[in-house]
Amino acid sequence: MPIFSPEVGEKDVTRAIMKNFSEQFMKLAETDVIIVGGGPSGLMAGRDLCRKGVDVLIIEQNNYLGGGFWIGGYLMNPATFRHPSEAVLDELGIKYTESDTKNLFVTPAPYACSKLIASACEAGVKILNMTQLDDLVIRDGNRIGGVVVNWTPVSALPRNVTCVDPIALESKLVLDASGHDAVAIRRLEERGILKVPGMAGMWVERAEDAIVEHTGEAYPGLIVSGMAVAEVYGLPRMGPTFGGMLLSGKKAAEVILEKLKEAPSISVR
Amino acid sequence: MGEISKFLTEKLGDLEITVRQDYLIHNLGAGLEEVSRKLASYRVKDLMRKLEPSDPFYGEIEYEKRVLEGRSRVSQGLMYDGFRFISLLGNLRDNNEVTTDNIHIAYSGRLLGTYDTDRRYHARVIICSFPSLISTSGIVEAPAKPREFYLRLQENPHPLNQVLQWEELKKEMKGSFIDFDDDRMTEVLKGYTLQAMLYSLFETPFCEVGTCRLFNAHWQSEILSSQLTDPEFCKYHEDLIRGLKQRWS
Repeated sequence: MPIFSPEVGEKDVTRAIMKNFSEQFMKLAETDVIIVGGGPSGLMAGRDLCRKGVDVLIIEQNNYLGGGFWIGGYLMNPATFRHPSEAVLDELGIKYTESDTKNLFVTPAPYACSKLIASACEAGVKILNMTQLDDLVIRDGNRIGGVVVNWTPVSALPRNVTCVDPIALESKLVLDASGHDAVAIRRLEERGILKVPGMAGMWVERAEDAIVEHTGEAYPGLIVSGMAVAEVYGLPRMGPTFGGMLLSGKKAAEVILEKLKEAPSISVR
Repeated sequence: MGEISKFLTEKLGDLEITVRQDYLIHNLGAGLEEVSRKLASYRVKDLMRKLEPSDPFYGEIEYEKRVLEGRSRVSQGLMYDGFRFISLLGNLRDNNEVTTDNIHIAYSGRLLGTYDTDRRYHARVIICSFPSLISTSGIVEAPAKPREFYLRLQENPHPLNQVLQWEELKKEMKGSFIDFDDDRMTEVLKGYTLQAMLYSLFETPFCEVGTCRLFNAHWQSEILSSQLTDPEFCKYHEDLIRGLKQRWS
């Protein structure tokens, strides 16, 4: 007696994958918010937005979500969080301990990262992984209206081998949460719209506050969160401490909710 | 500001002092968009290059708007070109007030810098001009902390340890430098306000004597010794200030 159901054949598995993917993809061609990058700030923003009834799609170039949140720094697992970001850990149900330094909290990064991913998925975030940003959809010359994407493996092969046109996904707003790469912002730089100064040297005491304060709309229709903020505004880098990423994600969600309310053509369910 | 006003009248006699809170947002002569655009363009992104006129992008202008409207705080550690900032303030003044009878002194939480002859920006506590500008962030950031602070921070180059060590050192060496939200900040501001006053009167704001409140401190220890310990002034400036008070009382 086999353990698994014998009536499921190879073709059924293939059809199930194809059907679910295509059905979801049909809906994803137009959504409220597209988040570029599934690291801590993108996941946090996506989670909070979905919990408010906003349709969110995260595109992630890797096969896995979490970005740099899987490890604390220097190949060591403990991830650190400065007060008041432990409140977000409480919200996500992540246990932590206070370090020898008051107001500095520690938890294993793989544990925190997997809890955040689970929380975002349970909130209803849709995900396209192995998907890279190729370009931005620009409306009326000055407003971002979506993203142009392609499979990540396409970019890994020579252009003459993989002459594969990308496809476009429309959205009301785009969030660049792609970390140091700041891929969406750099597309604007390529067009001469702005110049990305790149992040400044490490200054932990200042960096987290500055990143949260600068989280916002960097170009009409394009919000920036997480370490991409440091790149765009030339802010100090902050080292292996993650509270700023989570709070920046939350702030991005707040900004997006405000923007969705402001724009008459954009509605929150 | 009340304490600083009281200090000035104690030292210099019956001055008519008006305090204007949130000056920029209440005097947006050119409008919120234009002032935000100017502020964004004054941000120093490369300490080694003199700021050139540039067009800030949308997000930078939006950030400055949020700060002016009180929706975001000024991020500590970001430097603005001090002379351009002064130029903005100067242009927003009421022309009727630009007379030799009026002295304008501005206070800002922004960190301000000036490009110097060694071809790099330096953070400043005070920039003496018309108007003069005093930075509360500058009091914390511009004069160097004790040498031991930096040496001990360098002992462990690992970033995670530096995070912890920065906080630890601040606690361990608390009192040996002025920090944000420091109880002694107002007292220090009094001395710098007096420097701005003397610049407006004589164009010579600073004193060479390290214990005088008009001393131009480069180290935090010099701020503490000049602003917070007796004697308050050197003999020359004590006589000068007494003379001004007699004249104005």
